[in-house]
Amino acid sequence: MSEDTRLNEWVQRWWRDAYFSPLAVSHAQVEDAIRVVYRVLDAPPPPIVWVASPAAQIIPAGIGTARQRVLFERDFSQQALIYQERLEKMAPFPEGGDPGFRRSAPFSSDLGAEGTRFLDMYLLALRESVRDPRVNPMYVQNLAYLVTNQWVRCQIALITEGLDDPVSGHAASSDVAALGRALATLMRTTFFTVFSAACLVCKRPSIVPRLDGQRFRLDNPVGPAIEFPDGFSKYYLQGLEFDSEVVMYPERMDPQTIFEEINQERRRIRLERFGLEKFITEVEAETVDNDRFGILYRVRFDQGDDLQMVKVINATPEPDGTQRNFFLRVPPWVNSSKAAVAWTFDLDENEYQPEFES
Amino acid sequence: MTFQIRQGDILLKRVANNIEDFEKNPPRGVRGFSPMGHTKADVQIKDTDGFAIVGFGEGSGHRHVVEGAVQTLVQARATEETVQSYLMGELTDEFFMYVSVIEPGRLVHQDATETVFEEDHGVLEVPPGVYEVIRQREYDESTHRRYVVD
Repeated sequence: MSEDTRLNEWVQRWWRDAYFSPLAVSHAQVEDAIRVVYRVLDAPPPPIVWVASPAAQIIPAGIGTARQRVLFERDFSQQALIYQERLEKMAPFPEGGDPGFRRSAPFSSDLGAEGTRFLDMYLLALRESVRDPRVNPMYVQNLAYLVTNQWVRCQIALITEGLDDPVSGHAASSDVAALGRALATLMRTTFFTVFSAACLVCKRPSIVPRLDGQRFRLDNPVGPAIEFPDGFSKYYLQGLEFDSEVVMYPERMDPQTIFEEINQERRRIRLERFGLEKFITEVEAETVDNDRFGILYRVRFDQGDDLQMVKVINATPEPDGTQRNFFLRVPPWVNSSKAAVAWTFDLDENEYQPEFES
Repeated sequence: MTFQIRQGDILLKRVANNIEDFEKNPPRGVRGFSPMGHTKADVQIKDTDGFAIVGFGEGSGHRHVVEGAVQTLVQARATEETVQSYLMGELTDEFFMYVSVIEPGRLVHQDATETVFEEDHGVLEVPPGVYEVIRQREYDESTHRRYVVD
């Protein structure tokens, strides 16, 4: 196991233990931590406003209207990506990072160059968000980032800097250490957003996020994967966000929407929820060819080209012995399963012959 | 028949035994590139830190990575942004990518936290050689093709 893999696994465990812990953190503890953050950032602590969900932050933050809250709820993950892009376009740090935060404590070297860059950006984000109420980069701390651990690694690096080192006897006393300790508390609040005029803190979800086994992704096939006290909830299957209908009433799905799903993983999950056999039956697909490469289906339409799709089976079995099925659309002119799969790799039927697959 | 390795929506197809062979006999007419074949000037060879990403899944955050002593070969005019776009499945015929495996390497599947995750796709040994990286595509009525995204 590589050092990087070990670090990642440790980060995952750490984050999971902290973030998904059912242990509540008191409002007083959180507010103390927030005051520390502002002190370290050389800013006077503003009023602390508790909100019931990430979406509820939009309005008091002055960055959104009621209508924008609706948009935010509809496209939560996309919003997070927008904030990430905005953050990454901010002015780069000077060589060696921000000296103000590095003066007294060496940062964890195991972050590597990339991790250090993100750490610098994280600190910049904190400072910028306090100084300029128009930008809100702290929104990057949301569900989408449960699966992109660089930010988590930054927080953890800060937090570990905040701990006294029992081996060296080094007592954490720097600003970084104080910030780290504060973040360790704030991580339990789900979301917090720092501004000059106010600090918004989101209450903990009323439904503790459900994870997909040992994998680091949200998953709940029978209800919302996360829900907040004001009813703001999100549905996730195998780490991907879906409408509540797909999770709660998959039998109501229109097969056409499965065709229209461009993302292969999302289509697979939709198909699994709907039922493969039911799908084949409902779209009246006929089997054109069936060999070891897959099954080629054709759906005839009264007008326009026939629709053809090949069902391929993932070569690596799941832990329970089953194998995942994928449907890929192929041109109407291919007439064998092998030709169809070969076409998906831009190869002729005779040319496609993988020696090893997984 | 050329040697091929497939991991999910990524196919590695060996086109030369090593980079010297590749430069002497560049593949011809590969995937819409110049029908005259690649020349040394067409290709930029990039060293890596022991791994080369050959595919990303935007939705699930996973990635396919060739680990080992590897180099990547892309068009001379390709920028880092172009490469990222290709890895995310956003480009079509205008781009090619090869990976040169200098010593026996392995093709691994990592989850969003960059941890090797074998539940979806097992680890595959990759013998030395220069491989064309082919992303899986599917049929689209309007464009006739689009890369598979997951």
